[in-house]
Amino acid sequence: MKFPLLEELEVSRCRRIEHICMPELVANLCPQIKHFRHTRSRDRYRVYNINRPGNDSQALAIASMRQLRSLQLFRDDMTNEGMMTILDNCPYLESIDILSCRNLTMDGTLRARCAMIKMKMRTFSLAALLVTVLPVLARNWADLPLDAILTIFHKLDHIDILMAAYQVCASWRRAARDEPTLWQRITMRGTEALSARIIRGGLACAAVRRSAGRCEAFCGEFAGDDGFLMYLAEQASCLKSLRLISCLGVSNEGIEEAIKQFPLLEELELSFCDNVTYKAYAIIGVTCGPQLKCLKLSKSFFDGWGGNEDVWVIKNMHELRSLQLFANTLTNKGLSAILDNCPNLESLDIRHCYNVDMDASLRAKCARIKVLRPPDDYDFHRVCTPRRLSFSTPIIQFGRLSSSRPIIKFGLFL
Amino acid sequence: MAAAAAEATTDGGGKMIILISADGKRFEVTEAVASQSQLISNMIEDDCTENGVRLPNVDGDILTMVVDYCNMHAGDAAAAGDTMKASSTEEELKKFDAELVQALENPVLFKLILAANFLNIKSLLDMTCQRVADMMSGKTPEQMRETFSIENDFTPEEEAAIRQENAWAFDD
Repeated sequence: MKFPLLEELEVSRCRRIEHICMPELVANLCPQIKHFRHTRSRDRYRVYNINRPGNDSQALAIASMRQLRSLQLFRDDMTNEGMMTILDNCPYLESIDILSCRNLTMDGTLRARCAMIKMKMRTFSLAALLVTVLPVLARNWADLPLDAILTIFHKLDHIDILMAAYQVCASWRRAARDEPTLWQRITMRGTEALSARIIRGGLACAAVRRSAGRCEAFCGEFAGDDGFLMYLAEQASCLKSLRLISCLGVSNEGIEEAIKQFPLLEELELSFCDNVTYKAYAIIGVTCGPQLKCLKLSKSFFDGWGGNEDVWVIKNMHELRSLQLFANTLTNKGLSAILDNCPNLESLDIRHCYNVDMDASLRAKCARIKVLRPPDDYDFHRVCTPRRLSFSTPIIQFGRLSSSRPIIKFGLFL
Repeated sequence: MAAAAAEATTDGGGKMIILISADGKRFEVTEAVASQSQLISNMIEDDCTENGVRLPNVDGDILTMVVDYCNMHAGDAAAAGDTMKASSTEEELKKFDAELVQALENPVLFKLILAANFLNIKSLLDMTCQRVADMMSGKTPEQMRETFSIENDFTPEEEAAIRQENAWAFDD
């Protein structure tokens, strides 16, 4: 072993190697090691035995690999103590993958320690699992295992978590409070009736706060105003998706100010936010236009005026994959410009864009679009992407839309 | 050709594994069916299934449902190559899943979640948890406690803290 600069090493299922002293060798000879994967061959660890004694000698050796970024161990005898030593001594450790390490138990301390450094636990010891799960067999819904509670919470709207589940019992409260991953992708689909309470209670801010800086996606319906946007801009610099639907408290100024703080944004929706106009779009085009992949700017109803004012920004978003412009005033010229300049466009929704006449040349240009909803597609019910919850989906009131339809037909459709 | 295909399918089924429930009921399933459980799949990998897999915290009736579910879904991967077959089974599966989950009484749903979580069968856990989430959606804390017979176990201090945190929710 004469590779003092070695940064990555995998020793897996090599029967001739005495695995016990492997980590120690590596630790001594390769001080720069960053990625270490170690799997004992099966015949050296053959017997499935809950009572196999713990042995932390390997863990101690690994703990002296100070530069370690990622570690994969399969069939190791280390105990929780050994694991803690590794966690204490390898400050750069980002990912740990542990499989069939029978003496490890994911107890509270270890779990907490793992939550603090970015860590991935694929599987842990089956034996430990059998031993730890059995005594605390849950008898009622309050003491469901944390993983199950979180799986349920992940399927709930975050308004339901904050307004209700969070206040049901102590264990549910802990689950909702202490798990930043639950708040990484926030969905808050309120209603007009709830809107004032959501905003007054700062619910959207509360949700973002719980993400502890890890919020990647926010989708709010009747659930955000300019003040919230400022908070989001401060707290979520890695935001990739921002969807604001019917957020009437959001203005051009709010968007202009906040959008600058989201350089990684890939998805943006500003639908039925009647106080955001094309004036704010220019800055969107500058700050996140180049990498934006999905854009939705749907209006409540088609008003006929405005022409292609939105198009000049959109056509510079060359990476766009998906575009929804419900009830937009763009014309054939505008749509052509978008189609010509966004070569990756796969999905286009221009329902109720009655200034567009799908003539032969447009249809030819649209041939490459995989999902096309043309202007005369009268399906209202899928204007918004479906809610995360498949049931109880109060769709935004389309009363206004349907009543405005005859006017459109007579006034502009011809 | 046909013979080869037939052989392949039996091969795909592989070895049989015995699952033993808490009350001693035995279920014989193929490795392919059983390894939808990540827990059992790991055990198979580690060669420790020869004497049957004891599941001391899963009742026989719950394990029956789990085995049914896994038997139904084991076709998933196998049918993937054949698009015609895959699409028809997909519909059947959806129907099967919907019927299974809709028919569940609360205590059974609860035990099924525990089993899915313990055995680490992600799709089953997702499905059962979705049902719970649907039951919770739009309810107040009090209604949730009622639905799931949960006791309010907050201390007066915690109660006060919640009240303070959520002052907006209590005035109307």
